[in-house]
Amino acid sequence: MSQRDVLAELRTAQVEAPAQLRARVRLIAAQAPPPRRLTRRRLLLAVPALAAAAAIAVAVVVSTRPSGTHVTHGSVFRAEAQPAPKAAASAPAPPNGRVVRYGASLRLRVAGVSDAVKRALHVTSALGGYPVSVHVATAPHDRAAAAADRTAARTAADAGRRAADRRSHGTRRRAPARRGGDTAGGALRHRPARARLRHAREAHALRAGRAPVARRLRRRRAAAARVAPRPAAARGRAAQEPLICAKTRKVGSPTGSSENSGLTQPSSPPRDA
Amino acid sequence: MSFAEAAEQHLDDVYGYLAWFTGDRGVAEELTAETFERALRLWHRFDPKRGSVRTWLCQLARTVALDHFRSERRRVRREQLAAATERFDERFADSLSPDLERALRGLSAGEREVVALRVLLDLDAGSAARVLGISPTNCTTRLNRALRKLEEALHVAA
Repeated sequence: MSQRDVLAELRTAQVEAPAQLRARVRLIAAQAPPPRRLTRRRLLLAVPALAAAAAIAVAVVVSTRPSGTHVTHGSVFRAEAQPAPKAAASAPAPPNGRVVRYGASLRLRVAGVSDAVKRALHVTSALGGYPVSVHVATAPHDRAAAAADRTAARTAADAGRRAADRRSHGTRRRAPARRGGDTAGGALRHRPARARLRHAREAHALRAGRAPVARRLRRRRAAAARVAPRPAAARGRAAQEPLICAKTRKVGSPTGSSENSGLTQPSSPPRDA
Repeated sequence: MSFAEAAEQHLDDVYGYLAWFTGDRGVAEELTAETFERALRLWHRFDPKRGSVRTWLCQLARTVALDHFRSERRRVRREQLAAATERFDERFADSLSPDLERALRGLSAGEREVVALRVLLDLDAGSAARVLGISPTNCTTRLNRALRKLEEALHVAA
């Protein structure tokens, strides 16, 4: 028998399912749900829902998409005397419908150490920021620095008065003040340098034995010894200028190698209680 | 085509395929019923563009049969029993000669399966290959090997 004969005989074979199985399958098929058809009524219900969903999706995408422009409000506030809620209210209002990233920095210079630092931190947190760094410097109490301390106190008192005058004008941006020349800041920066230079020259003359200079220096020191101790407010103002208070400790021992020798700043002056 | 129409139209095909695949009509009846139960659950996934209803039902039937063979701890013993020639005490079809029945028992389940799909159900090579999960070339090769075995068995019997 060839393969063709085998195929022909196999094709004659008919396998029929028994009646019991047929009834069972009919019972299974009867459980089938009716086919779903997209009728006009269903279409009328589905189209508005789809349109609403598409509109919501488009609105969400448009509202959350960034505009691509980067707006920077780089104002530097001088908020020494500004109360916290008022300072917070000075933040620029964001425009509607756009995502705006703000970047701002604030530099505070305050008089008095612990309370003022706390207040500066409070102002910073009220503006929604955080302190990047805090610099604190205080005045020493030793008598050797008394003369220089007086100068420092006077200088600091002048700077404090000018700063108080500026405080009365409220919050002010720092950049225009720099362009116009901050005289108080200049005094704080330059007068200690002149005082250091004068003290260094006097000390050098004293060691070199120049009598007029030595007599003048002795009279000045005696006058400084008779001066009453500085009030607390002056000490507090002196604490805001670290250069003055720190560098006067080296006045009595210059090396003499140059005009400004021995005027290096000590590593860490004692903290004012 | 509704599911009831498809079940009524292709019940014999599914049952014949499973009877030839398993070699046991009782098991074929159980697996046929299970196949149509699964087909009812998956009827919404049937895509006429991907193949005919008969091909899809045969794929389900084969999956059900393989799951049956694999599901229980007696899988190995069942496969051995299904492959054993002594197991076939029933006829594949009433119109077949005793020699051809004996030759069919000598084939493996895979060879009987491809003969059932290509000859009994008259599926084309692509559809049968899709049911078996093999390539059409492999399906044709397997059919030729099965027919050659049947021819040799009938030649020896003659």
